[in-house]
Amino acid sequence: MNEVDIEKFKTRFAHNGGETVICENYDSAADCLAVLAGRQKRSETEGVRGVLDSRRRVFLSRSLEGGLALKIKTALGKVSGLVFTDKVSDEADICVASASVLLVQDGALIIDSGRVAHEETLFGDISVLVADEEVVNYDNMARFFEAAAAGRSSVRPDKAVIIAGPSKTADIEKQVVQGMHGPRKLICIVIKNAKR
Amino acid sequence: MNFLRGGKSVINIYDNAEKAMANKALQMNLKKATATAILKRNEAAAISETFENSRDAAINSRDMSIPRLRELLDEFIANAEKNGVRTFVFDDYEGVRAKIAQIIKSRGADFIVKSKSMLTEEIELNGYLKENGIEPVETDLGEFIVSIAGEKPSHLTAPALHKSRKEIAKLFNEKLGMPYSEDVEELCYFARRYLREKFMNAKVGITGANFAVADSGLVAVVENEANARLAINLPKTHIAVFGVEKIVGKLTELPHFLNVLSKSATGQLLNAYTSVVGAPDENKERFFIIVTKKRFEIAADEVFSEALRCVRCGACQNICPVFQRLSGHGYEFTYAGPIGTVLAPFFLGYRKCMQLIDASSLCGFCKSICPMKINLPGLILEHRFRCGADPAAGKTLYRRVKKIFSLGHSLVMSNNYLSTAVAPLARLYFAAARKISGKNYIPLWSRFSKRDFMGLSGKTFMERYFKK
Amino acid sequence: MASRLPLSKKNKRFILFKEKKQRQEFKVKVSLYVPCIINHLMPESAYSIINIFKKCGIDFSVEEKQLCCGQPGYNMGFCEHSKPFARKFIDLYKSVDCDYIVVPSGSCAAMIKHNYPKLFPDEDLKWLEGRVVEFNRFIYENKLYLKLDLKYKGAIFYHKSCHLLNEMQIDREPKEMLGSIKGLRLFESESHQNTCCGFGGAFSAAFDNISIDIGISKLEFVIDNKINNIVAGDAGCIMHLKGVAAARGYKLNFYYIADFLDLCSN
Repeated sequence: MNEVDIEKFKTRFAHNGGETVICENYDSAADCLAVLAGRQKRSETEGVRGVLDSRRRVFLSRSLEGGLALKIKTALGKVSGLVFTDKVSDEADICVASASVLLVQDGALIIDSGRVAHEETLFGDISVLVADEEVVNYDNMARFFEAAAAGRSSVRPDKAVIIAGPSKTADIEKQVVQGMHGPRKLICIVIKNAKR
Repeated sequence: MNFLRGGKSVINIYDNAEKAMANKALQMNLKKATATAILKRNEAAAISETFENSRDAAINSRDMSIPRLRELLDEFIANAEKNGVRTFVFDDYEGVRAKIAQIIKSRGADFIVKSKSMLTEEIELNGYLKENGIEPVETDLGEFIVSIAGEKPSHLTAPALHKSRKEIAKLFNEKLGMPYSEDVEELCYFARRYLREKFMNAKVGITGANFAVADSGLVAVVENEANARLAINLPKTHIAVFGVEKIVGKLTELPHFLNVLSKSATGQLLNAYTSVVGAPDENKERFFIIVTKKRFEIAADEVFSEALRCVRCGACQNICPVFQRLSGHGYEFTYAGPIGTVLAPFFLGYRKCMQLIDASSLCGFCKSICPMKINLPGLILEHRFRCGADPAAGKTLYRRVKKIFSLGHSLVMSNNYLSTAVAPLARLYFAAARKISGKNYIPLWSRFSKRDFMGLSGKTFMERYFKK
Repeated sequence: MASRLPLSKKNKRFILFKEKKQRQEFKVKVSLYVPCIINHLMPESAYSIINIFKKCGIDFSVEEKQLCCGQPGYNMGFCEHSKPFARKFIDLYKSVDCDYIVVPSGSCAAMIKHNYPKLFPDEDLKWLEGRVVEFNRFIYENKLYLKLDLKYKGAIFYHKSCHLLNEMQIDREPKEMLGSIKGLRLFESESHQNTCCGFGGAFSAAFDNISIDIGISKLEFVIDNKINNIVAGDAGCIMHLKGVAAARGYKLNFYYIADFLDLCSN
């Protein structure tokens, strides 16, 4: 994936309400997550979850490849007051899963619901999607569906969920509130030189 | 004046507008909301490289599929069944409602979670389920607000557009026991927590569908809140109910529709979540229920078939100056705004819609903003033509008075002698009216002198130019 | 500029020759169609158009036997009632010796060009498409406005009349003509220029409450932005907006676009 595409994706994804973090490799991605987990304030999450708890919970999806998952675990281990959960639920502050397809012009990601359970991108306060070297990028949706119709896409069309931002609503006086039914924040970590 | 407006059995747009315009808060909300929606739409359309291309591709796709809708329906059913989805087709509302209720009951559910679907409004599903002892829980925030208030949605994509935060705060406080707060975020998160519990325990989830794909038997559901994803994936049984016009031919055509819909509806490059669903997951089941009522009739109509191109984005409502004042409820029909005006006579008959089809200045902005380029003003005009020939509507006093005006205009003004002779007479009439009322207004056109009349004071151009 | 310099006889003759040549360069015969609203309520606007034609050296004529275009009946849903108008228009102008029929109204032009062929599908009415031209487009496409030496001091709000914009697709023309006026500030607003004024013919009588409220929104926006002059592309909009403003006591000046161009060229 070239620099121009990444930049374009970043602006388009931001237009849809998502945040992009560009990392050089797995190590910096893991550090980045650690910072994120450390930064997050409790008060921000009370509204969505309705629980008061001082510990931060992180859920790692099984869709993440071994190398990255390990690195993330080591990096997050250094952050104090942080625990890993095995079960995905609203208790989690951060849910990390992997994206399968990146759509540049649309500023969107596609997850493969065959690999990533729906709950992993629906529950919790912050949803983090990791786009590593395995990610296939298309200019736009049309290209993806052309490939899917011809059976050439990595994600089967009936397993595809296109995600282009955090859950949001503007139903009350057009004021945008994020985290209506799903995550309040959506972060995409793009790993440029992923090596496993 | 009521008899001149078509009597009681007519959707009284005039009075509905009067009521809506008296509600200043509603007017402010409506105008603010619709104006921002249009601005955001234009912004998103300008950013996108593919918007115009997708528009043409989507129109082309619909124009190919509308004439062969029956074939596509068969193809869709065959492919969906192949995927293991049970599919039912109904032409009448009663049949759909009964089928849905039967599925729910046989799964032992006493409540269901439901995401936003205009079709379920059209078939009045919620009322039917309640009568049958099933509680329908609306989960889209706007729909949720509207449903606990016991009202109907007033906009295609923003159902609670007509409600202010104060009203909502009061509603949540009284009906759900939430501590009174006008903070929008708090209201949203309260609803989230309230509904989350419902999602976790629901046995059946009902959603609509934005598009259905014939060649692969798939359905696409577009949303922002994630409630449709929860309703599709958490309960064991998922039912998607939609109109037959949602079917597109090929999977490769689907992205063009998604592209234009998100930009036209909410001004996003893409909606937060687009779920493409087909074969149910392990231990789960899925139903597609398709409604054909009136759709084939419209598809076969030479003029009106293009109305089926509609993707229900609501852009025509946002830009419509009449909708901005009347609000969705004023239309007294599931689908409001220009597209509602076009569809209503098919469902309700001309007799009921006589005023509705006249309540348009035919300004044409809906036509230019419509992603599917539906000639909405042209179709509204076509309704006016057909209304006269309708046995129930054509003979009403309302239409007859109109006809007399039109005929009078035609007889007098299309005659060279009469049209010249009428000018001085009109001047006399206006001079007299001005003397009596003391104001520059004429009856009918300048009611209660809210609009002054420039008056026919001097000679006409033709009189002066040809020195008569 | 040239007239300020002392001129020799030879130079003077040359300039006169040049002006004459310029004038002769554009040699078309035009028939001016006068819509009802202009004829009955705003006759001055027709004279403004004539003034513009004269300043540009256009050979024009007006048909004494012309009538309404038949739009009211058509838009109320009575095609049959608009047929006599269409018949008479076609029969009259078929034999008129002119290159263009200039129609100073978007809605009348749309009625004639788009709807007459629908009323008489069996007739060959392709000549309407070529000969009938809306006033704004006629002035713009022939670059006549450049000959008018347009000047104005102040700001205006241009109301894009709906049928002009959406049915005739005339958007760039008035915008560029007004933009070429020296000293003029054209107030632009995407959301308020691209909305109806509320007129809509019979609609304004049947639903006067909605119609008037639409007009008020437009006028209030203009007043909020401290602009006193409204220019519109169609005379119907002027009639309606002026009526609403008068009843509410708004002090605003309204100009039909031809009136404004004529005013600026003095």
